Order: sequence, then C-alpha cells, then structure tokens
Amino acid sequence: MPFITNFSSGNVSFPLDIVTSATPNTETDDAYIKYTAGARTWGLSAVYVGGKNPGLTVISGIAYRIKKWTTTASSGGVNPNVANKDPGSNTSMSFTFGSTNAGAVTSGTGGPTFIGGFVSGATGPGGWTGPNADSYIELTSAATSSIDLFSSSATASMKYEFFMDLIVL
Amino acid sequence: MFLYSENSAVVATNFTTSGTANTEVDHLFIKPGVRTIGLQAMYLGGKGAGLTAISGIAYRIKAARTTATTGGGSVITPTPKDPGAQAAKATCSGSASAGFTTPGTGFVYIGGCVSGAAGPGGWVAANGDSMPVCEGGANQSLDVFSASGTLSLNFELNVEHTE
Repeated sequence: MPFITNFSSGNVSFPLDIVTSATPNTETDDAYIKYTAGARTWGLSAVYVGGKNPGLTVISGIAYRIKKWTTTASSGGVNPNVANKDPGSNTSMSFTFGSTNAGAVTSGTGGPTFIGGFVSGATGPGGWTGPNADSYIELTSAATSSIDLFSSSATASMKYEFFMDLIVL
Repeated sequence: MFLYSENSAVVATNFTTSGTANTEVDHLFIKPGVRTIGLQAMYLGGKGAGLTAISGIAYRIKAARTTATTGGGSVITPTPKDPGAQAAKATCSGSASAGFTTPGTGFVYIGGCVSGAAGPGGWVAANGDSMPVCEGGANQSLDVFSASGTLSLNFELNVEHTE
C-alpha cells in the first residue's frame, strides 16, 4: 500500500496563518515539497484549504495554484515535523517542506509548469483531491524539482490555512 | 471493516472555539480498543447565529502517539452505521469548549480542513490509505482541534471512524 504523509501550515509555529500578497492579483509562492532521500515515486494527492480571515464585512475569493519547478527546487521557509497518517508507515523516505508563515520561500527555477488549482472563499473552505491515482501530481525521486502551492487574491493580505496529503507510491 | 459515527451534538448543541483568538482547543478524541482505527471523515460547519461579519474556523487532526488524551469532556458512544455491526472497541469523548484535562502527548499533525463561521466544511479520506490511523491496543488517540482568528465561534462536528 502507498503511504500518506500530511503537511499542514498549522503545524508550523506562529503565526499560524499563511497570508496572500499585499498587492492584489499578485501570486506568491507559499509552500513547497521536495524529495531529499529515497527512491520512490511520490505525488500530491490532495490539498485542503480555507480562508480564515476574522470578522470580514465583505466577501472575497482566494485562488490556489499548484505548479512544478523543474530545474531547481524551491528552498527556505520552515521545515516542520510532518507525520505519516499510519504510524506503521515506511520512514525511509525524506522530504523537505517549507511554507511562508514562518519564513520566506525562495522559488525554484525552470518553468514553473502550471498543473492544478482551485479556489476558496476568504472565510470558507476549498480544496482539491485527485479523483483517481492517475490524477495525482507526481514527481520522480529527483531532488531538483519541487511542487509548490501559490496563492492569489484580488483582495490584499487574505489569511488562509492549508493541509496537503503527500502520497509515496 | 465496521464504520461508526460520533456526533458533537450528543454532548452539546454547540461546540465553541477558544475565547482567545488563534488558540487551539482539543474538542474530541477517539482512542482505539483492540482493533486498529482509522478516521474516515469529518462533516462540520460553523453555526454562528445572526453574524454580521464573516470568519473562518480551522479544524486540525492530530494523533497523540505517546500517550492518549484522557480526562474531562463527556463520553460519546460510537454508533455503528450498520445495526448489524458489533459495538465499537474504540472509545470517544467530546468537550464543547474547555478541552480535556489530560491532553495526550507526542502529538503529530496529520490533517484538517476549514469551514466558514456560518457554513459547511469537512473532509473525507480520498481512499483507505489516506485515513489517519491508530494501531489497535495502543495508548494513542486521534484528536480534533479547532482554531479561529475570531473568538468563541459555534460549530457542530460529526466524525466517522473505521475499525
């Protein structure tokens, strides 16, 4: 069976929220996953998100874009202690994670290739799940590429939280 | 496998996020009995009444992998979805707002989702491999926390677990 690891922005110490760009309609590279050791194919199987802005009196949307850097992987941010969903999972694989809620992410190079996306409200849920195994956003074991989560909103500085499921085949 | 339902309304009409903004509260835990358990789904939503401003609520799934959460809250007896199923081996408790008196230890963060303050949210495991798991007989628990940038938001939580 494949193994599922969860990478959540709330797992990083304060501040807990990711924040979209302070400039409307400007993308920010908010989080990335990069393989660092092991020899198995892996991919993104689901991303659950939601706007968490407190006390808004107007409504807005947040777009989330999934892209691949193909020449060099992203770096920086914070590498939280992520966990496998099953405590009996194989632990021989190693990943590097980063998110901007506690340090800037330095984007990779090459591309990026736009490979998915979805939208949430500024105070409500959104997300994406691969409808089948063929739909997972896969990378080989190469550490020279990363899968990144970008955000963009027409309203400045929208807060949100994400939860990513990473599958190791 | 057998499937069981746990519902916050058994404990209180409304569960409530922390009285302090951006502070987690542990509202519900499931501790395995002799059978391995998996969290299959959470159906939930904000229940704010007559709000004039909108907000979001995050729901975070964590596993206590060193010692299970215990103490405080109220027992929620897991209800089999199939009346022919045996009683659950796992135990469950819910806490409307205070959290539990003896939090688990060795927490690892393994999932979550978000809802609006007055609307639905939820999460369903995409497949069997995606379920957060506790091994049968282990002194571990699966816990659901809430957190919001706005204090004291009402919500309701319905959980499904497998054995």
